[in-house]
Amino acid sequence: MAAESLVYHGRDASTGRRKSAREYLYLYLPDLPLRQACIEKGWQMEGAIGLYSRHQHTDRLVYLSLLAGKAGLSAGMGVADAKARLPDICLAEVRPEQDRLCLEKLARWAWRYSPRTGIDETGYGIWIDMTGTSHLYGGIEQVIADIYRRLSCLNISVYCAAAPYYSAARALAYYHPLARKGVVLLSSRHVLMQILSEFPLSVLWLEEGVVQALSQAGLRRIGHLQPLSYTQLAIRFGPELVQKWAMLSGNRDDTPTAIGSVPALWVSHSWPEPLAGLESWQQMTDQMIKEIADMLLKAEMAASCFELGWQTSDGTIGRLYFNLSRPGRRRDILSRLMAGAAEHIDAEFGLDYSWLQAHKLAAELPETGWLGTDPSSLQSQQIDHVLDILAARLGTDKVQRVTHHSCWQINDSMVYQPLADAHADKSWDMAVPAYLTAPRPLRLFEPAEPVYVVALLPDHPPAMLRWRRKNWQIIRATGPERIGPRWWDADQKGIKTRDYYRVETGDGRRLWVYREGLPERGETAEWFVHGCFA
Amino acid sequence: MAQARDYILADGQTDSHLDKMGKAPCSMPLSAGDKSDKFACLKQKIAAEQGKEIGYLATNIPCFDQALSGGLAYQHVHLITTAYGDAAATGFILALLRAQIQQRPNAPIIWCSPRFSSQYGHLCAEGMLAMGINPGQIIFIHDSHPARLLSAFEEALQTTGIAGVVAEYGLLAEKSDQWLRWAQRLRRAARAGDNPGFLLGPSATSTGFETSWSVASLSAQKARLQSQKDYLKDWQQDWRPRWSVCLTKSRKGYLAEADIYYCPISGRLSLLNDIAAEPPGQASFALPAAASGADFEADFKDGRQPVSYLSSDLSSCAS
Repeated sequence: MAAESLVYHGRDASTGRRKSAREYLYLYLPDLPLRQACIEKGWQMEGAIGLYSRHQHTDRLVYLSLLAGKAGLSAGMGVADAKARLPDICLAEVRPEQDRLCLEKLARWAWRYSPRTGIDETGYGIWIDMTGTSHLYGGIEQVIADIYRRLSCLNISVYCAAAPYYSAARALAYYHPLARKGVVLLSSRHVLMQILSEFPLSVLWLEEGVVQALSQAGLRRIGHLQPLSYTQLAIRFGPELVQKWAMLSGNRDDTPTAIGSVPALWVSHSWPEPLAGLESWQQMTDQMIKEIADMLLKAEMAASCFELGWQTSDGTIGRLYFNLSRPGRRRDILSRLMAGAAEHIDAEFGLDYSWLQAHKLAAELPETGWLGTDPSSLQSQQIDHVLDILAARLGTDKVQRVTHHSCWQINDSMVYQPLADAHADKSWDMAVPAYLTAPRPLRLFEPAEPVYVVALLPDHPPAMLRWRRKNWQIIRATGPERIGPRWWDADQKGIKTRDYYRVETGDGRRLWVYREGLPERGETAEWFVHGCFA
Repeated sequence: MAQARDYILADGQTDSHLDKMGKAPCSMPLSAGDKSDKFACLKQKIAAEQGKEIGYLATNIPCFDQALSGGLAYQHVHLITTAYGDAAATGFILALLRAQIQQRPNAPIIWCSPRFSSQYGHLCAEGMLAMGINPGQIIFIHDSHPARLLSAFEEALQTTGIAGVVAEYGLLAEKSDQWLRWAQRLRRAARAGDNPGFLLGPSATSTGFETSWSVASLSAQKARLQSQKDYLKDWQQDWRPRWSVCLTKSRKGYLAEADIYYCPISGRLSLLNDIAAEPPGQASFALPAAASGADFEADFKDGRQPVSYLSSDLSSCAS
């Protein structure tokens, strides 16, 4: 198949070497969601099949089989219309998580060609970084031929393209007419840009509004963008277009993130008899933890990510990931981290094969015992381990720290971030005494709760408010503190200016109430309770 | 049945002649020397049994510290309840934790709560800053399920080197069987660590916890009656947190209640009666007549100055 495909290798005339440094291979798998649905439901790929998703309270078709397409159905059509036109159509809902898992499996399968592979987060495809590895298979054409041979057995249709950078490879795989048979366009930038210039602007994966605006300006193909400067484009159509255009033309780095790389250290066991039962799985985990801990100690290394994997007797592969906030190798820590791992193993007929891999390795000197070790560092290590356990149990996004953002709107002044992402440089400034700062409540109601108020004058604080089905007499108030929206931010266009008051009710509660809309500007005023003070 | 509640008044005198079991004292009382020997012996036995000494987090309020023999015990869980829509209990816990942070400066606080709570609202970092607590020192465990939150709380309780652990239990306390089971689990977990644990939420059964507290904002009328005459003219401009705190249950047997206030500058809890006796430097925390917020908002306002409104200014409309 590769023999028929478009192949262009530019070579330097003086040295004979290839000019290109990198080789990205992109595999576009358009039928994957349909194929997954067929396998799951037992349908035939040749039949009329449609996948739909809910969009603006309506189920609309997203993917269609060939037969359904020939019958006059199209993507974006309502499910009810499709049923009316083709009553026999088999319909299922799109399941992006399942498709993503399938792509991840394929990306792991592609490790046979290169250690750097990954999935396309926005589309249905995987990429392989073939830099420095294609010669092992006799060239990139041989790799493509091998991929076609292997995937055709599984009845997976694939569009394949190789280019010196990721965005170009993806664009070629999606839009080049010969991508069905494999396209290789390495090294000659001129030829590559000539071919890309013919592609429509949808190759940039822009938002609908931007594409429309470009179309209205007469820009419909990539070639139309070439004579225009980045500044012109950025001023008129926003920075996103420029970023993506720079990536497609190879002027900006677009290296994607690879999926879990090949581990440097691992232990694996092939069991003569299938291992069944929670107890034996627990023993298996303990044994592998001991072995990997010893292995790490010998190598004077520590790891911050561990993968526990298994293959069941019916061929299913399962994996669990455990992360440490700092690299570690102590057996007791790993045992505690993976204490509940055995309960997550779902193998009715037992395990045939299991492994434990250590990722993200870092050098660590051997420990010489506890004597003389700083107790505070020991305690901080222990706290880190507890947080790791909580992150492993609840999810990394559940363990958070709050960081400061310079903004006068209270909701945007603080950002809860996962512990790993929270930067120390965005810490809170304790230098300003509390009494010099604006009054801020200890508890915030989000969204703010609407209340009915009685006020002496339109610009006065409330004298009484009805909140949570109760009337609250206000005995004192201070304010207002006027907080306006960010005028330069398009997202805040509809938000009105607020006047905040701190009020105290008869039973001693202190509330932070605000009036939205200014009476002096003729706006309708609405009142809300936004928080309560200690 | 005699009630086994001995209220200790703010001045330290016991309010009842009943002992801890609710019985009248023995007709042949031991002499003072014998009593102290016996108590010392018992204390030694208990200390030997427990194997290690338990630290205390002093509240700085004499009646509470006296009732709790020194303060809130580490390695135990303390239940602090409050009404919905009232941040008094949160403020009280933060005030206690501030004292704890002074003892363990770099230790983090672990706070397990749902990210968004419709009844109590969620913690505001700038509000914590105003209480004198660095929000960066707090690690939040956010989960919407109370059982998962309590399991995280249990795990954190077992760790050493933390300034304190707080969990918000929400509606879990309404399921009495689960609640009692959790109380036992948490008590056992707290023994393994060296931190005070605080459970925060609506009114709940206090069985199994070391102490149980009820905290509410102090009504202005009560505050006015309690504070001394000199202070009366200033109270309207003082926005320092004031709470009515009641120790409703203690395993030590003594109960107490007091009206207190918290000074965010000094980070101290004090009795409300002491508010007028405070040095002028600290009393000046009472915001100026231009109200709390004159300085910060001048930039954003259209030339208007914020003002204080008192009940007399507002009442004409309310009536």
